[in-house]
Amino acid sequence: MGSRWPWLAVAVFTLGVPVAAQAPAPAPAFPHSDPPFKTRIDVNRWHSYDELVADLERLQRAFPKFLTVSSIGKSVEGRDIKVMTIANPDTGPEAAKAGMYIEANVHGNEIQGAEVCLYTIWYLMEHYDRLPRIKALVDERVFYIVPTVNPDGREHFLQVRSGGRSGAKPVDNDNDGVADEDDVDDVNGNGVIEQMRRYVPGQGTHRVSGLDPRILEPAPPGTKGDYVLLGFEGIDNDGDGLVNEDGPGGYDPNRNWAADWQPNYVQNGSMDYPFQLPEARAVSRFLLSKPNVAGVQSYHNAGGMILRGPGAESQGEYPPPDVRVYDEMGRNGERMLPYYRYLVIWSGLYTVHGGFIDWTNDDLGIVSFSNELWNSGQYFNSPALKDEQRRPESPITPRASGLFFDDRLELGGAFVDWTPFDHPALGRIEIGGWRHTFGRLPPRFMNEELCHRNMAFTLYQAGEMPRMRIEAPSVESLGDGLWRVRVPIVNERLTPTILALAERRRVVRPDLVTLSGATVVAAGWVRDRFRPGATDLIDQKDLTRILVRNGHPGRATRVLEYLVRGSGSVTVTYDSAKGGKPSVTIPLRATEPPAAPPARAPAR
Amino acid sequence: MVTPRWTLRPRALFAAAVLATLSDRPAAQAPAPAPAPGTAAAAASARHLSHADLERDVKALAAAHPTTATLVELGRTPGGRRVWAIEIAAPGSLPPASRPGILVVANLSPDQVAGSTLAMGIARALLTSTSADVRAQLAACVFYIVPRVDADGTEAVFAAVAAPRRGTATPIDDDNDGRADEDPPEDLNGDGVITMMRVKDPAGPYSPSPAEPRLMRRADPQKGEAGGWAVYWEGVDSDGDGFVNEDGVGGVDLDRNFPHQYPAYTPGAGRFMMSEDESRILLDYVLARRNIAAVVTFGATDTLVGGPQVGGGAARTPATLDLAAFADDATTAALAAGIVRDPTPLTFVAGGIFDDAFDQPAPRPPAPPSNAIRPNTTIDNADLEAFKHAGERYRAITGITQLPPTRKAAGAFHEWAYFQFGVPAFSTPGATLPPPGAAKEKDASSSGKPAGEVPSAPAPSPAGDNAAGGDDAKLLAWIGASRPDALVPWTPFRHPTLGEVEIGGWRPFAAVPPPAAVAPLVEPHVRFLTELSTFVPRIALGSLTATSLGAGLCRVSASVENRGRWPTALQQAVAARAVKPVMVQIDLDRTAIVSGAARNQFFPTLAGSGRREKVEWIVRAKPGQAVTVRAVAQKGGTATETVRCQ
Repeated sequence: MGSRWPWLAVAVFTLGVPVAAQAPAPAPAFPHSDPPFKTRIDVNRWHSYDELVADLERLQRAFPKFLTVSSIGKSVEGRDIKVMTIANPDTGPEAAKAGMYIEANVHGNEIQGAEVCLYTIWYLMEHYDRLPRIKALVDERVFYIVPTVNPDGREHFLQVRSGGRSGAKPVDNDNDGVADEDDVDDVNGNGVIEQMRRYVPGQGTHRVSGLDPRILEPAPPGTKGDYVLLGFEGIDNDGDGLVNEDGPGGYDPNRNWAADWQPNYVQNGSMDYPFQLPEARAVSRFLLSKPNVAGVQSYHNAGGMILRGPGAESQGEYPPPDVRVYDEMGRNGERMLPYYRYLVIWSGLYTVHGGFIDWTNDDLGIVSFSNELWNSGQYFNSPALKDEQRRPESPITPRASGLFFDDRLELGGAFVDWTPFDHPALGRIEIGGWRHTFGRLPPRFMNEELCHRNMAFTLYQAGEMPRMRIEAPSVESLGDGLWRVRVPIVNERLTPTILALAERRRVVRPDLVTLSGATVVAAGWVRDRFRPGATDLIDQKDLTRILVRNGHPGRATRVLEYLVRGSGSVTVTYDSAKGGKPSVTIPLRATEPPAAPPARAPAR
Repeated sequence: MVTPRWTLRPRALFAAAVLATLSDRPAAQAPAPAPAPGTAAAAASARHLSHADLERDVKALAAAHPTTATLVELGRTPGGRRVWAIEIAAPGSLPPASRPGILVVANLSPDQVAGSTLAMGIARALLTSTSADVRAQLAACVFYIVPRVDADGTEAVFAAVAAPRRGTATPIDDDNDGRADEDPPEDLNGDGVITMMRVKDPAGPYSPSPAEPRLMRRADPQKGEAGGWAVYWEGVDSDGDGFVNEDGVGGVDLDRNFPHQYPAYTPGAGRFMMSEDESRILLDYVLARRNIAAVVTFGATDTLVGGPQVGGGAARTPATLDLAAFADDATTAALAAGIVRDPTPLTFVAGGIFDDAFDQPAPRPPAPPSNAIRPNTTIDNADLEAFKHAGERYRAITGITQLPPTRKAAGAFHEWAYFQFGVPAFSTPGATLPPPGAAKEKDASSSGKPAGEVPSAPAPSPAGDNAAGGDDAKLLAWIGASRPDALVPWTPFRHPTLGEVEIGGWRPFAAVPPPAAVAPLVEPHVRFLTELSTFVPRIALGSLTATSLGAGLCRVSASVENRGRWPTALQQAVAARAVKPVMVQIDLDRTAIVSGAARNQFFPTLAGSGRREKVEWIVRAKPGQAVTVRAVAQKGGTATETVRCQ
């Protein structure tokens, strides 16, 4: 082989260098039992911010060669926004590898994505030596994982109190000149923020369900119920006659991004200008400093969706080549994630202006998805049970199913019974209902499957990020020190190095093909590498630095032909922002034609 | 793979930028009277203020007026320069932060450097004025003056070699080749200014203008005209890519970086809205001062002389330079190079025809119509009067009736200030060339005329399309008399790669009025701003009474009114929820309020000129007990009254 392919001996690929030895994996107890894991993380409980940070640091200590925890900035309340970088230092610099950015919890109450992030880090590390495909991903790619973009919102959600999407930047929701002065309160001191209701026989809007006395249902049209709902548990903290009218924050952190950002009256919760929030600014600066990022996943909840942009119809559909990339990934995602649908945000969910993945697609040219984690269809997830849910007498009809599930499978962890309470402003009321962790979050025992399936989708996306390779070049002498050098350039993955929209808007730098070691007389793209024919000469003055503005398509090979004058060898590098930077050194001596195909065994 | 070297698409780029940037060099061309040290005339020296000069002046000004002037640092530019505000308020009944504020912002781009001189002059005049009107308004309002936002980019005006600069000094990869600012123009002939080159080139689409051979125009092939000339920025192809000066220094025009009608993905607008540190520190400064009730920008668009048109001013005089647009062709051509066209697969292949149409997935059902709402882009009819009236007063007071070269607003600061911050917001260049009244004396009486009738302003045309010589001819007619050196004569030069060329054309910063032209405009602008500050809403409490009803109850009755000219919130501010409603608050806990209004009563807006609203509470209060009522208008101050229950 070496004699037939002399260039192989000197070919240098920046990727794919063998990995230096690391500590051997623990041995299994028996040949077919699983070896123990090096470290553990809990995916069946919700982590506080401090616990998340502790787990990130513990993982880093367990896998110091690959993992680096750092901070990309601080939240409004001063918490560090942590990023875990997963990279193999032996396989080339970060900037020469396509990056996959995974984040979660930009909405304070959409927390389980952080556990998916922890699981992803843990899984990649524990399986590096067990699964060759995991090893390849870690060696060829770099992962940036931010488990919580909104640590303040997460803390607010997980402390005694409830909480919404917002972060902690104070907003004066009730216009009285004071911000955040009337939040919910745990008036009955049971550690949970529940609902308040008042018994108003024959005058209310809600009634007790015949299915179960714990269920409060809207009174049918034209009838009156016995209860009115009074909102979340709390008192009139500021004495203005209104209860809970000005809680912490009061905005939507996922509407503060610069692509198609619109002011509050068009897009509620967008704040005064894009990147006003320190969390959004920290993430934007981080991504601007990592032009190698070629894939984004931003975890939200709930509903079971694989979302892509555009967020608003007025932005227009992506160009067809980009749509084909998204569609293939999205449809495979639907197959990997039962109960999840692949949707465009504005047509499948609702209009969003200034959303994160619109910014990463439109302004950074990154293939971007947002998974809405957890679909309530997963509570009773067999066709037989789905059928039964349609029968009115069943205890698992949609209205009753939550309590059935809580009683039998979560063993009462999610519902707080209604109990009387003497409220200072509202008089005799009752307090009770679902805990705020119910509904948006999966049952804890089901979260490992949620973590794994969603992680698998991001690993699939990471694998389909562009990856440039240079295949065996051919060299032909044209006499007089002139050589024809043909360099096949391959992107074997689905994603192009530059999305069509990114090319149109010039938000990603062009791919560059550089050559050193000889004088370039001419260069051109070979029209058909299997047949004789014309070459499209490249009309650029500097042929040692050829610009490819539209990047390299997915799953495609192009052959670049150089006519060079010189001797010795030339080095050709394909330098893409998002698909790596492979390089090859080619001796200027004639190569032999490729071998005949191997003889095939006769068909039986 | 033929790369088009020329495009017929006129490149509005920032060709414009060069336009006005009339360098104050040579100083001799700006015959300023010798300034008396320490007087207002000191600002009218022969030079505009470099960053160091400006910093020295704002500090000196603040130090000289410790009771009325406060110096505030907005933040730093990427180049490490501080952006300053001078806050001017005399002692008064309310603390400055509770008074209506007038914000003046200048010099958002280098070619608006004269605005910084004007703003500094205004600050100095406000602080030293002996006028009773001015002193009264300093006690009633607060003036926030930000003389220079683009502190990095404006330094180009003071560079040893004057070069056109499109905006900030932030490196921008204009030709998107992976390198930023790598091919800037050079002063080849050593005359101290960067101008243009023209060279005979059979492929060039330009020719000298018949009426004015110092100017170039695009030949019209439809009329059988041939060009024969190419136009470049002065310099060489520094990066060896075959394009001459296609990626100069900087930058972002900050007045196109704000988030209303942001011109996304256009040259000079920045990478995305609010991408620049300077934009962000300005908005953070403004948002921390919600009492700001009016905004005046000295900028490249106009709403005061021409009237409050949609988009902030129709460009009735040219805002682009033909020569600069022609020279920018290099960038356009560079951006067109490097597209690989993959051959389409053969439709016929020996062995069979493949038609995969049958394998395509079924088309998706059409998406439902979007329910998205769109932002407002025109001034609300209810607000228009405030804009028209302010424009009339501006023209009458300043005497500026001819619209100077301006461009349409997109992503402009003042548009954000109206459409999103919700206050009356205006923009105009302020200082003009020629000075008001100099060009057409007969128009002096037309101060009240709406924009459409401004007589001197020729309609703009796309660069180079005008056979009579294009927009450059109009600009020359506009400033020629005041700036005879605006056009540098074409002189032969032997270029290392292009051969025999001529170097000349527009001088950088050619339309910037010299300081001497700015100085006389300070006083009328102070008068205008002083009058403007009388229009702001003024909240007041009239007829506060408290009548005992027996049984420990008391009826408290208040009327709240707006004594200013403008409403407490413009209609756009109400629609955009940009200005808080007027709050009338009684200082009692809700448990003491037995009936009537809530403790905090809100009115979305109160019309001006004394419109009133009545608020009544029945409260538990003993006879003789004091009850305090407070009315707060975000843009109209605070009024507090106390009454005893009778």
